[in-house]
Amino acid sequence: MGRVLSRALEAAGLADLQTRVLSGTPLDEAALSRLRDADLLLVAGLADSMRAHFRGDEVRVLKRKAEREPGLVLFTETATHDGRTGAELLRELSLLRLRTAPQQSIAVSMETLGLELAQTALLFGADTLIGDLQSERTLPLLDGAAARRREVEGLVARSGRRARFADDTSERSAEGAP
Amino acid sequence: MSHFAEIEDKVRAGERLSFEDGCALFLEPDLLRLGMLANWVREQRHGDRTYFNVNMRFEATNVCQASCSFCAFAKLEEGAPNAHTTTHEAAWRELAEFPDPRLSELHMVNGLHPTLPFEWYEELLRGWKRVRPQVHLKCFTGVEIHFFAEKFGMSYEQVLSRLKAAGLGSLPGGGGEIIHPDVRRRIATDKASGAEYLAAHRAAHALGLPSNCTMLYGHIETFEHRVDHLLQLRALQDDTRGFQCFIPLAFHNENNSLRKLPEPTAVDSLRTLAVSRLLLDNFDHIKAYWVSMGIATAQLGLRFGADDLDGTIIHESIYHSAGSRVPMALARDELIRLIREAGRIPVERDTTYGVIEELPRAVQPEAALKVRERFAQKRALSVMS
Repeated sequence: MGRVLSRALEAAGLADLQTRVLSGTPLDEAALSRLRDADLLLVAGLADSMRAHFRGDEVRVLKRKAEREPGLVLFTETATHDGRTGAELLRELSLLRLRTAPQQSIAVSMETLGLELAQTALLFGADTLIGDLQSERTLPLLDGAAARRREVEGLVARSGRRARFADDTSERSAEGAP
Repeated sequence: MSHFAEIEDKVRAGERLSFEDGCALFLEPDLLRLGMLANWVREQRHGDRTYFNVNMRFEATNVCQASCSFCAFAKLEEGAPNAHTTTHEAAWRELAEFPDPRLSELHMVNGLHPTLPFEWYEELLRGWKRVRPQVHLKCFTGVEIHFFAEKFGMSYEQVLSRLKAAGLGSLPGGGGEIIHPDVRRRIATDKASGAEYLAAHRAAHALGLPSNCTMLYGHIETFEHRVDHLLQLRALQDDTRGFQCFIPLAFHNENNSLRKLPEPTAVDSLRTLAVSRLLLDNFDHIKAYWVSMGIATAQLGLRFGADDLDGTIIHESIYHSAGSRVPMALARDELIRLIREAGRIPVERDTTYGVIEELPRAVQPEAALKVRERFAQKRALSVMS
């Protein structure tokens, strides 16, 4: 992110938060309140910096039952036609990233959030996608797990990251609890 | 200094970006910093003001002699399943009975009908002006203007002058597709070339008819083709200043012969908006067309360089034929809510960006408050451990 973010944070009087985020300190309520009405991309930029610094560029793709994985923080809110809009939802996701211990994994569900927002969520602090590729509820327009897997792989790659698919067993042994 | 840093310096100094800069922006891995730079340009021009209008879409005919490979709307001949051509009376009635008194624009795009006479279109416009003279008629793409000129043996100027006399106010941007011939001859071989599309717009501008322009992205084109397309639009705008707005259109893959191609993702749509804002330094407006890119992405687009969401639409058929799942229409209140929750100021405009009403920004987004209450109650997150 570099200079663009730093310059924008400085202009918004938020430069101190970048230092805190990159030191691995989750933001407290007082700090978060300063971001409630800040520019959406500034909030995203902070959250993405934290994600990149502590979680790297890999995006894990987990089955639905992995929602119960120890240490996995699942973002549970969804957009609704008459309630929240995508922009507000993504702000909340970024704030969640910023107030959570930086080593923790933050997941969004492709089924409940929808693919469009789930992909965009990878820019706003998420590092894990949840969705059962065997299920028609994930990518209902594509036939078969292989096609769904290719689609998700492409979505992640086009957001500048790399996907790692894992069944529950290998995922637990590879990652363990944070 | 990195290439992005050089580009950033150029942008902030008001210097024009090059072809190579545009290609580098499409390849920039950090989408957020690209978005921030585009947002900076957008806010330099418009602050938080974000435009929309109350409009209706109309398609007089979907019968079309062209066979574009990305199109699911056109039917090749009258009598084909789902082919339709309206009558004058039905078209006039639809406008006359449109319930919202705030309607300011009728936006019409048609197939290239092989047998309708030119006078039929003139009378269509005249009738609309009779029933609702205050409504701006934004009708006929550059491709349609070229088709009329060829079919009826007239120059672009003659076609446009007659339509203007009948009530035409401006041209929509459709038909731009990708201007570069390497792409265009593979996806849109039997209609106006890229050069002819541009020439039709040039002629319109010379007659005082403003227009919009588009780019269909996310199919077989490369980033270089996109940059070439944008720079050709920029060059014409340098000459005429007649473009009001640029609208990137996301490819949809249902019911057409490109159905095996994946559709562009939300990230590609946001990137395309941002690069467009940065390259098109002589365009006032960049539109995040919600029908094309989806409501959620279009709303986010207001932070990636876009300053316009288009309008209420009503009865869009072209994208819905190709699989778009967005609603057929958005209420004015819904557009206002989307803009406010993106932290922007809603401005209802007419077709030529005259301000009809500037609405107050949200003090705090209503839905955000709902979310915060819920988050507080539910401790904001569920840690499944």
